[in-house]
Amino acid sequence: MNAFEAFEAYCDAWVRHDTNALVELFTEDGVFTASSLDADVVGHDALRRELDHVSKSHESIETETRIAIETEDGAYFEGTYSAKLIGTGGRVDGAPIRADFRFVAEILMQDGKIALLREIYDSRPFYNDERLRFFAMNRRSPYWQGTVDAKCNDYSVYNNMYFPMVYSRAPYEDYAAVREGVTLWDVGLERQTQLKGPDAVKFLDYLSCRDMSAMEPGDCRYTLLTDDQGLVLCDPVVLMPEENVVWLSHGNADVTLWARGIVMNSDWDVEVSEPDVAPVQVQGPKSIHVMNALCDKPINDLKNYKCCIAEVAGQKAVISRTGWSGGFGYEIFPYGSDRAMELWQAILDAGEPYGIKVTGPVLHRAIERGVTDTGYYTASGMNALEETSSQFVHLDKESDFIGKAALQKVKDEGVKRHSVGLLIEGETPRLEWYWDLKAGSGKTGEVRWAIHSFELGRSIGIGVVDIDIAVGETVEITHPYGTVNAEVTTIPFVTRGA
Amino acid sequence: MKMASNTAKTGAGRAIAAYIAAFQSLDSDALAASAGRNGLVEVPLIKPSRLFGHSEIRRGHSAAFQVIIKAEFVSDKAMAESDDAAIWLGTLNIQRNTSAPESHEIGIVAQPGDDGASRISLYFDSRGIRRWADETIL
Repeated sequence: MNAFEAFEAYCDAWVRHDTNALVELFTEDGVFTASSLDADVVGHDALRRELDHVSKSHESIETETRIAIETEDGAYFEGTYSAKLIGTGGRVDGAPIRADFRFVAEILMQDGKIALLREIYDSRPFYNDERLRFFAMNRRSPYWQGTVDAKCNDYSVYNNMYFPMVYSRAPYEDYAAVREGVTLWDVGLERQTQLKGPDAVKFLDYLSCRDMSAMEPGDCRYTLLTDDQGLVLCDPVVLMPEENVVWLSHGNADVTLWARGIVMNSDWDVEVSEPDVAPVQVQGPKSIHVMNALCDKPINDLKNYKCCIAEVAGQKAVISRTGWSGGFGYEIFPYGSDRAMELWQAILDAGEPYGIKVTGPVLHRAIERGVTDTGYYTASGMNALEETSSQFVHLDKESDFIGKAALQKVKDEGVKRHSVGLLIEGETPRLEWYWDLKAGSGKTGEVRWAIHSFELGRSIGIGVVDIDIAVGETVEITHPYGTVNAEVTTIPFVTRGA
Repeated sequence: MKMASNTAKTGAGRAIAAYIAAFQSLDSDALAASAGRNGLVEVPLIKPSRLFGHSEIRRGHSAAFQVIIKAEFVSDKAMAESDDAAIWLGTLNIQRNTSAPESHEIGIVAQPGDDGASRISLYFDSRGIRRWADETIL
C-alpha cells in the first residue's frame, strides 16, 4: 500500500466508523497526531481507544481530499473533514453542532503501513470564543479558576453559585472518561447543611422520609426531604463523618435555612450551619488509583456509601464512596476552602497518568442510569411518592417526619402520578424547560430529563406522568423541534455494569 | 533546518516561498504580491480570515504585523510540489509584542494562477491564542 492508497483507506474507514480498520492501517508503533489532541497517540491500543472516542463522537462523517502530493517517504494532503457531533442537543435555532474543518496532513509510510499521520487544522472554530460572562450576583466555587483553565463554556446557577456544566469537548469524550477513565468535577456548589449535637441523627430523621435512625459514623445514605405537604425539597446524600455530626450534601434547595427555621425555638439539641466545605467529585473506574495516590492511607476498603476522614494532598477531608456518575467514584469534602486550588491541582497531577478529564455532570451517563437531581423535584409540585426513589419513603417508620401525614394521605387516596423512562423518537434538543407529554387527548405528564444515550444510541428521557400510563404505552412529546412519539419504559435504562 | 526558499520548482512553490519571505520581513506589500491580483489568502486568527485580492491581503496582514516583532518559518522537510499545488509543513516561531515567544505547527498550501497564486492557505491551530489584531468591540 502506498501513501495515497493508505490515506484513501484511512478516510473511508472514518466514514464507515471502522476503528479496527483505521488501526490496522498503522504500524504497531504507529503515531497519530492532530491539532485538537492533547498528546501524540502511539501504538495500536492507544490508537484504538482514541480513534474510537472520536468515531463515537461524530456521525454523518464525510471527507474530501483535494490535493495529494507524493513526498520522499510518504505524501502530503489537503482536504476537508465534516461530521455532526452526537449528543450535543443542537444549537438554540435547532441547527446541528458540527465538527467541520479543513486540514493539511502528512503521512510517512513504512513497509506499506502508516508510521506517522499528522493532521494540522484550526480547532478554534469548534469552540466558543469566550466563556459565558457573569454578573456579581452569585458566588463562585473556590475551584473557579480551575474550571476556567479547563475551558468550561457553560455555567448554570445552583445553590446561588456558578455551576460549571459543559466544557469544550464532544459529549462522548466526557462520557468515555467517566465510564473508562477518571474525571474531576467541581461540585463546590453542592453545599453541606451541618447538623451538630446530641440530637443530630434524630433531627435528621425528622427531616427525612427515609428511616435514618441507624446512621453511624462512617455511613452515607441517600434520602428525600419533603415539606409539610409531602412535596420533595431535594434528595441529599447524607454523610456522618463523626459522632453527632451529620452533613446533608444537598442539591439546589436552601436546606440550611429550612433546617434552621425548624430548629429555632424548638427543643432539638442541635446546631444547624453551612460549613466552609466545597466538595469535588473524582469519578470513573480509575478514580481509585488517583485517590490512593492522594490520600495518606489506602482507601481500597472504603465501601459504597461509606465515608472516612483522611489527609488528601495534605488537607484534612472527608472522603465518601458516592457521586453522581451512576458508577464507581469518590467525593472529597475538604475541611475549609482556603487551599482549594492546591487540592484541585494535586488531583490533576495525580490523575495525569490516567488521563483525568475535568468535566461537568455527565448527564448522558447519569440519565442512562436513572440518576437525577433536584431539578427533578424542587418546587416542582412533585410529592415523594411520585418520584423514582419512592422506595425511600418510609411511612412505616416509628418516628414522625415532615410531610409524613400528607404522604400517608396521598397513599391512602392513591398516588396520581409516577416517574417513567421514555424512549424518544429522533433527536432531542437540550432540555431547557419541561416538555409537555400527552397520551390520548390532553396533557398527561411532562418530560423532566432528556438526553442522547450513547449506550442505546437513541434519545431517552424521564417523565412524570399520570399513574395509568403504563410501560409499553406510546405517548406524544412536544419539544422545540416538534412533536414526536415516545415509548414508556422502566428506569434505569441500562445496568451499572453494561 | 530547511527554510522555504527559492529552490521551489513550481509556481505554487515559489508563491509559498515568497509568502514566507514576506511574512518573515513583516512586509505586507511584498506579501500581497505573493498572491495573484484576485488571489485568496486564508490565515487563522486574522479577521476576516479569508482575504481576497491584494488590497484585503495587504490590509489584513498589516494589522497582524503591527503586533508581531519577529516571525520565522522553519522546516526540516522539503516542500511537496506538483503542477497543481504545493504544500509546505513546518513550524512558525513567532514573537509578538504582547506575549511570550510561541511555536506553532503550520502547513501552507498554494495553488497556482495566471498572475501569481490563486490561493494560499495557512493551517495551524489558533485555539487558545489571542488574536493578532483585536478589533473594536461594537
